[in-house]
Amino acid sequence: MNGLLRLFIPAALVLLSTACATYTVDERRPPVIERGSAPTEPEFPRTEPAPLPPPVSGTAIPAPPPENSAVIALMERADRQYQTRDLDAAAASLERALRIEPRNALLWHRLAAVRLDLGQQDQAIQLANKSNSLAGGDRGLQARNWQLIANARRAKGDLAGAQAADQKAAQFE
Amino acid sequence: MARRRRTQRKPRSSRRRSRASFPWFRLLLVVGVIAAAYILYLDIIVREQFEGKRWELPARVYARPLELYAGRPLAPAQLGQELERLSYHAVSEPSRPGEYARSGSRYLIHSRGFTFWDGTEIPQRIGVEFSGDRVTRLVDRAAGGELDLVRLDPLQIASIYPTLQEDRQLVRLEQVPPLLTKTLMAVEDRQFYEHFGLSPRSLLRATWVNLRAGGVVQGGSTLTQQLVKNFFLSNERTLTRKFNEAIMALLLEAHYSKDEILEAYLNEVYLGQDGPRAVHGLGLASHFYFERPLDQLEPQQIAMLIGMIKGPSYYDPRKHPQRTLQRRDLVLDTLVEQEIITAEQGRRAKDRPLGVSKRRLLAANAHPAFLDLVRRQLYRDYREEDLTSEGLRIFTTLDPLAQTAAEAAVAKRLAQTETNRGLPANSLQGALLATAVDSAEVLALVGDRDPRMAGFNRALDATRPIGSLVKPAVYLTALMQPQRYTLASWLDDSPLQLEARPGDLWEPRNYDLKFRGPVLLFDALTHSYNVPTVRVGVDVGPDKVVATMRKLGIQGALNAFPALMLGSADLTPFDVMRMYQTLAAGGFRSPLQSIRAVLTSDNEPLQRYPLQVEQVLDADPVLLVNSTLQAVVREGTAAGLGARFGLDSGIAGKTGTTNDMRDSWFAGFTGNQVAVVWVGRDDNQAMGLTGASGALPIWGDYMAAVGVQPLVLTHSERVESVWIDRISGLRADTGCADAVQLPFIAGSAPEARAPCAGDDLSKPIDWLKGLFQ
Repeated sequence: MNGLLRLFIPAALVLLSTACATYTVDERRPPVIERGSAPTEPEFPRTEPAPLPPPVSGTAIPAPPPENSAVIALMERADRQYQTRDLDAAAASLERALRIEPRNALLWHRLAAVRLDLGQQDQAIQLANKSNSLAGGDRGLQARNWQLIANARRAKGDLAGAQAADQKAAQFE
Repeated sequence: MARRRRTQRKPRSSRRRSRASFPWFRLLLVVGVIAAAYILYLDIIVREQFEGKRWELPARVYARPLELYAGRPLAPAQLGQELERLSYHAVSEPSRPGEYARSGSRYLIHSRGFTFWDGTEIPQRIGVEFSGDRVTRLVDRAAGGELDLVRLDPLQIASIYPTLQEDRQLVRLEQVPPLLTKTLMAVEDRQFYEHFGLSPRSLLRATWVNLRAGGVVQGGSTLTQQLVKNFFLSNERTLTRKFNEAIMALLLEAHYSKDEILEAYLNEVYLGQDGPRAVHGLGLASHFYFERPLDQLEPQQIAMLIGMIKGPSYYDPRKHPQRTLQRRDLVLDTLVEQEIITAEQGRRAKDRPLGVSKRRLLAANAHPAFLDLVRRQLYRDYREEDLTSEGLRIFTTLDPLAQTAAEAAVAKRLAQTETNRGLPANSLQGALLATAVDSAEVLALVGDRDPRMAGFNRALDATRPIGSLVKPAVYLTALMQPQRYTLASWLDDSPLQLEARPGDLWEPRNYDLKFRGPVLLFDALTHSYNVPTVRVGVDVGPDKVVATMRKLGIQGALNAFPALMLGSADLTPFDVMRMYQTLAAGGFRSPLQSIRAVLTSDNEPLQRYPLQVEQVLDADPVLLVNSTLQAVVREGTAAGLGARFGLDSGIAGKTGTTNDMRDSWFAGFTGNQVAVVWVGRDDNQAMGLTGASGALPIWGDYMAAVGVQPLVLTHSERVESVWIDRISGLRADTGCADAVQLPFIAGSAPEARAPCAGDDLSKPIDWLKGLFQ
């Protein structure tokens, strides 16, 4: 009996501490700066002349991530876990995949979706932002991220914000 | 657990008779009551100890598990290092978990299997093939075909103990091979299942043997008595203790079954010392001496362990192999004599060597600086007694390959630098921190040039002026106003006088003491010019720079004075890491994590530390700063690094040097890791090293060892890339000899074309005038 209690107390404490330590998001700051609408501009000026110094690598379009069977396997596992509503496990699988491919925008999007289902709207929004920041030219994925942000904001009761996000999503579709 | 309570009734029954006029009856009564109380007291101790203390287990701390998959960057030698550290046995053909073979760039591994926070890995026979420093194929040797992903068991890096540093791995009686219990009884207590806790017969026999030998040759203690001795009593050899031991043995037998007592004995018996850690129980001893679970032990190994019980330090197989071998063979003879094994089996077992594994460095808690960080995080979330007694399993982010590389880089380079520069030996100190770019997991942490030193943790606690490491925050603050500042903005690098802090007149100078007149913002950061940086910082407002640093994650004290622009702030390497981590992650801040999950001893999840991100800064200006930090390595103050790793590496970083060269810093990132290095002296004296000559080579050595993933920056559609003439700061074309491609936030790039670019209408004099009006 004593042993049981000794196990229960730390568990309860831990639950309490996690409840207190929920992630805080700076609400004053919009999640993404929506400065101007860029789509009318050409993505990259292609006027550069030939015999110039090597380009800054920061301005190159990243190649799409190579097909990694480990990442695909983990994504499929996460999907199965998501189907059976084992959301914590799905999140763990996606995090494991992200350790392998941290710049895979699709993985960040999926993790955002799982966190949204877990009721963690703020984290879902942040993860969708992260996905957008890595999405490069993938407009479809950006549209889905904005839809997810819209849903998360709606779930938080931020209807105006949700509408703005819906409009952003429409721009990318 | 069934308990049979035995109340002591004797004293009461004598109460009536005490009315008789014999005074010695009263005396007897008093003695009886005292004796009963004493026995009751022992009884409570026996039961409490047996049920409580028996399960007190230290928390186990694990490193990250190594993930194997096709495409993983990993050198064959690194896999070898990992297997070595995990004490896998090199064999010609792996047939059991924990064995491996290497032939060229191909490894055959029989993995051990392990229960993680997110599932269980089963033991598997796998083949790992490499091409260069990359895994190309992962083969399932049992079923054929390829495997997507295999996770090896993680290295245990530490245990967190209560004051008594006892460690054990609990085993259940049914997990123990019958030969082991038979051997134990044959050697230590042949009548175990017959006696009632004490065995007068073996006591008499032992006395007889000892008398004849003229010394203690044989102990007459039963297993129950030995358990009591190990369990409850100190090591003193007095008659009182013998008496207590006997009473407690009887009480133990009265309360618990033989199997329960045997199981407790198997888990309690002391079997050696691993530094300050006491090795208790056969479960842990089996791993400690043979690196395999109990049920995989061979007869001669069982005989050795049982033989050691008599004197674990006297028969320490690593210190006294010959003596231990003799003892083992004696045990094997006994087994043959008692017909527990056949004579043939005995002969074969005696032909085998001791086969004890090399000792692992676990006791010393091999990485005290990293563990220090883990402890700080744990003590925020858990009580000390839970950490030291509940057998929690703590999964950390430490990458042993990275950690080893970091320790070696710091130790070797500091010694080398001292020799090359004629500095006193051991005068320099250093700290290194490395994290994974997007998850902010701490992979390696060095807090002292001697990585085994558990004292002052410089990575977490040394607060030093950060020098030029602050500059990216100054320019980031400016570039957040694209209508005022771009990478092609002209800054004024001419003599300047202002108050560094109120009342303190200051004339900031450049490192080379030159003034260059107008310089491009891009060049000012690339070459770390001081004077224009101070001007920019004062112009945007020191308070704004402080705000940016807070967003980047800096938690230490900051003063919004002009001197801040040159890094007068005293910060720890850990704090600096927060800032560069946020930059590397494109303006997304994550808490630096050292723990992934905590499980109970039954593998029930207690807590997960999930991936957390928060966008604290607009990604576009962060990209402008990061691409300039790439230029720092390509052509600026850290050009040595660019030459070392090649321009395709895209490494971004910043050097930092403080007044009189007291502190040497380098902070930078590749495609997958961020690392911060500090070098200095504990007495804060000048050492004559710049960021580029002190910290930078360490950073380079570390990255070379772990492998550099090229950094390719992504950017939003709001950022465009424009060729700029470095002479005029205007749009360039083929006619311009000195041009650079710079990123601009949409609409902020200069419109005008440079004089070298031909059909240009604007006059250079106009933009110069505009700047200095």
